[in-house]
Formats: sequence, structure tokens, C-alpha cells
Amino acid sequence: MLNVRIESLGGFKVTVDHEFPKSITAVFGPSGSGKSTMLRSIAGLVPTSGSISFDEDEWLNSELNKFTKPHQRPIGYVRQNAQLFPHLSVRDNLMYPIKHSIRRGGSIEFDEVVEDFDLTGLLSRWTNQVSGGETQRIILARMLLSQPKLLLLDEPLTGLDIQRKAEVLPFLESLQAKYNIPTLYVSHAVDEITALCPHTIVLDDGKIHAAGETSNLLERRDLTELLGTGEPSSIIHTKVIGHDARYQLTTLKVEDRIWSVPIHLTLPAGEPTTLRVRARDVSLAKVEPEAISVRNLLRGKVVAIEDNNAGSSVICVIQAGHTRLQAQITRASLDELQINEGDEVYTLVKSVTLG
Amino acid sequence: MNPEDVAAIWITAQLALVTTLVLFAFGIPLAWWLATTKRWFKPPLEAVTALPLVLPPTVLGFYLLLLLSPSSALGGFFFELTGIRLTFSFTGLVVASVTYSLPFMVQPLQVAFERVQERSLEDAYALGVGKLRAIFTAVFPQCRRGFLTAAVLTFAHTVGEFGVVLMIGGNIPGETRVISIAIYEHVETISYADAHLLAATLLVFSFLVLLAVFTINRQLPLRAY
Repeated sequence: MLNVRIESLGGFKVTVDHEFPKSITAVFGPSGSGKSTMLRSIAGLVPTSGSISFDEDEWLNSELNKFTKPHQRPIGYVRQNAQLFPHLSVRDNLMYPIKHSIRRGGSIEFDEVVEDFDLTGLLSRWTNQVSGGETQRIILARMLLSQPKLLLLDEPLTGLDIQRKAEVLPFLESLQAKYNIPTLYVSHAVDEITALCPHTIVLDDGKIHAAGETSNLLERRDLTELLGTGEPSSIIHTKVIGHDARYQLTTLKVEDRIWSVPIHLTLPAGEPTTLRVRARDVSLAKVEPEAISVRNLLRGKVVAIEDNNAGSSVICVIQAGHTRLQAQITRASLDELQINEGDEVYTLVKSVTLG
Repeated sequence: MNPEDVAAIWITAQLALVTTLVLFAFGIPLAWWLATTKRWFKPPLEAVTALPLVLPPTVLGFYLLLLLSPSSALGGFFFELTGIRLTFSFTGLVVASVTYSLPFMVQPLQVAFERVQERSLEDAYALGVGKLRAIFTAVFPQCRRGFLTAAVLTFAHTVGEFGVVLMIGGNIPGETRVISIAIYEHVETISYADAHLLAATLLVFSFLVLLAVFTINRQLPLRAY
């Protein structure tokens, strides 16, 4: 358990008092909100007052003048625009923590990590002979080989184009599934967060503005601007069924329905994944529509109706099994369809973003 | 080549080598400190380090002479302690050369350190590596070009000294007479053949050294800095 109660002094003021859960927590917020500074404080790289403790270890207690040096904290920190050591080969970069770290004898093995991150073919290369996505994988693998107990990842996918991101993201996901190390994950991208992080804290102006489960925070209308989602949206947990090459579609199981979305071959069949659906991409119908081009339907119950855009439209919150969906419709439609709380409705989802 | 000129070449080589080694010992910590400090007295110290670049050698030689002569406090103390004079001796030449060549050692190193130290140290810390070890395993290897440049410039610059050497060391054959002074002596006594021989040797040597540096520097960045 990571317990942070700090005030950073190094140039930028960040005041954080938070107990982080033992899973992945997204650290979200506009640029300049103090995300990186908070991570660097926890890593011991910027002057900080307050207290930081991790499990039984107290890394910082400025009242008792206690400070654990950065390299003595079992942290895997990947800074923004992280780099490999250019004077070492890929293999020697990976061997670096094994040779020189004070943290040795952990359970994470060289051969296993190399295999997990698919690096066998790259070992004898120099660092300028690997691509951006490969570099990122090597950096993550090297970090693991330092036997960390806490990961601080500062925008590990920034600077990669969409294709490279899609190449690295599965490795990040399996890293979590397999090694299960508590992580703080800084990102600007909502899609990365919904895919990876069950918890989120939202920083603004150096303070925690909101904290909680990611899916709950994404539904909060007061956060849409801070989250950069720009508008209300919902997270749907699904399972991949398979891919249809002929129609270029990936099929997913959502509650008791089959949905199809534009093909996304990096998702293996049978694996769970998440979708983000913007409220304005969801329409409502009172009876099950037939002969309609929208393929993605759910049947659910209206549990709340809230004003949106100063009353010109409303957000209907629909509960369908375990799935909560927000639909943005005009007030005119609401009145015409006579939708009330407790009504059974059909939701029609026009487009989704895959996590 | 006459024996005295051979001795001059030998003394020059010794002086350049010792100066380079001594400057490594002083210059690396100083360059590291200048590259990493944020204290207010960094700029004044940088200015002092760079002074030999702009001052005429005679100014430096004049003050060094005052400072090192056995009748001065420092020179006298050193003489009492070791029995070695710091003026008109090989030891004095080393002290003068070290002072005069200081910027040629410190500046390339400082530039190299500044470029990589901060992020390399942070990366190493994050992998559980302590400061001293990180400096030697992560920072210095990336500064190989800086080390090479610093060493060669210091060595070559010491070989090419004239003014400071003449004022501190004088012209004692076999003790303080270096190549540049031997050439001056030959020209003064109109022994142009001897002057030619030494001058051409120095010219070829300097060209070859610089050629080697630029060639190596061209090949190094392929896999490192």
C-alpha cells in the first residue's frame, strides 16, 4: 500500500494526500497539473516535504528528517521520453540492473522477461537499431529486471503513433496480468486508462480533484473537461468473440448480445476488453427496432434522467445487466417518446472506442 | 638530430603526459562539479577556469613566477617541504602547464557531462543503482568522446606551449628546454636546418594527432557518444 502525503518544493507546488490501492491507478489531469512532479516526488527525485510510505517502509518523513535515497526505493520509474543507454547493446541494457542494481535476487528472471516482451530477436542490436515501440518494450523489460515493487510510469506510450501504441499496449496489459505490481500510470489518453487502470485520480493545479473507480469518474459530468473526454461517456466491459475478416469486424459479447466493431486484430479472442461509448453516440428506442443499420443494441432500464447543456438535452442513464450506459438525447425526443425513470428502453450504440 | 634536441623532444613528451594525467585527476571532479552544481558561484568559477584561454601567456607566466618563486610564500613553502624549486625546474613546468591547459581539459568534459548526467543518473537510480556506480557505469561511458577530446587537446596544447614555459622554466638543456624553445633557440642562432627538423617533426605530429581524433570521433557515434 502506497501512502502519500506530500508537498513538493522543487519549483512546482503539488499537494497530495492519498492512499493508493494495490493495483493500477491512473494519474490523470491537464498538462501542468503536477502529474510528473508527483511521480518524481515519490521516486525521490525532487525535494519534497511530507511523508511517503510503502507497505512497512517509510521513504520520506520530513518531520523526522527521514529520506530514503532514490535508488534504495524499490521503484520502477519510467520517465517521460525515457531512453535506453546508448553505449550498451539491447542485451546489456537489460543486463544493466542485474549487474549493477542493489536490488538482486528477486523472482523476475531474464529469460522469462525477454520472452514475455518478445525481445529475443533484438538482443544483439544496438539501441539505434530498434524502433520506437521496441525501445519502449525494452525499457519496460529493463525496469522489470530491477525487481521493482512499485511502478511509476510517466506517459510510457506518449510519442508513439497509433500503430506503435497498439503494439506496446498488449505488453503493458499482460505485464499487469502476470507480474501484478502496484502501478501509478500517468496518461493523457482516456483510452489507455480505460484499458489498463481500474482506479483513477484526477489532478488539477497540483491537487487531487477527484479519485475513485475509473468507470465512475468517466461518468461524472463535472469532470468531462478535466478528463479531456469533452463529453460524458460510459465504459463497457466486454469479451472478444472473434474476428470477421470478410466484413472487417471484431465481434464482442456485451451482456447477452453480440456486438460488432471495426476490426481490431491485436485483441485475442476470448480476452476481456473495454469499450468507451460517448453519450451522444447512444440513441434510445421504446420498442426493439428492426431493419436498422445500427448493430449494437442493449435492453435496459432507465435509472436516471439528468439535464445536460443547460437543459436543451438530457442524459439518460440506463442499466442493462452489469452495464451502465449514458445516452444523450434532446429534450424534445425525451418528451415525444415519453421516457421516464424506470422505463424499459433499447439503447442503440452508433460508435465505440476500443480500449 | 643532435642529442640536445632529442632531449627536448623527450622532455616535451614527458611534460605533456604528466600534465594530462595530473589534469585528469583534477579536471574530472572539477568538470563534474561544474556540470552538476546549481550554486551561485558556478559562473565565477567557470570564468576563472576559462581565463587561460584569453590571457596572453606572459600574464599567466608573470603571476605564476611571482607565486612560485622560492622567495614567495607558496614557492618557499614547497621548497622547504620538498627541496624542489618551482621555478626553472621540470616540476615548475608541470605546475605551469597544468594551470595553462586547465580549460582544455575541463570544458570538453563539462559539456559531455552536462549533456547526459541528469537523465542517465535518474535512469540508473530508478534501476536501483547508487550514485557513484551510476557515474562510472552509465554516465562516463557515454562521455567517451568528451574524454578523448579533453585528453588530446590537453596533451597537444601542452606540446605547443611557449610563453609560459619560457617564463617559468627558462631554457635549461635537458631540464626545461622543450621543443618550442629549442626551435626558438635555433632560429636565434641562425641554425635553420636544426629548426626545420624540429618544426617539421612537430607539424607532422600535431597533424597526425588531430587526424586520429577526428577519425575516431567520426566512428564512435555509431554505437555510443
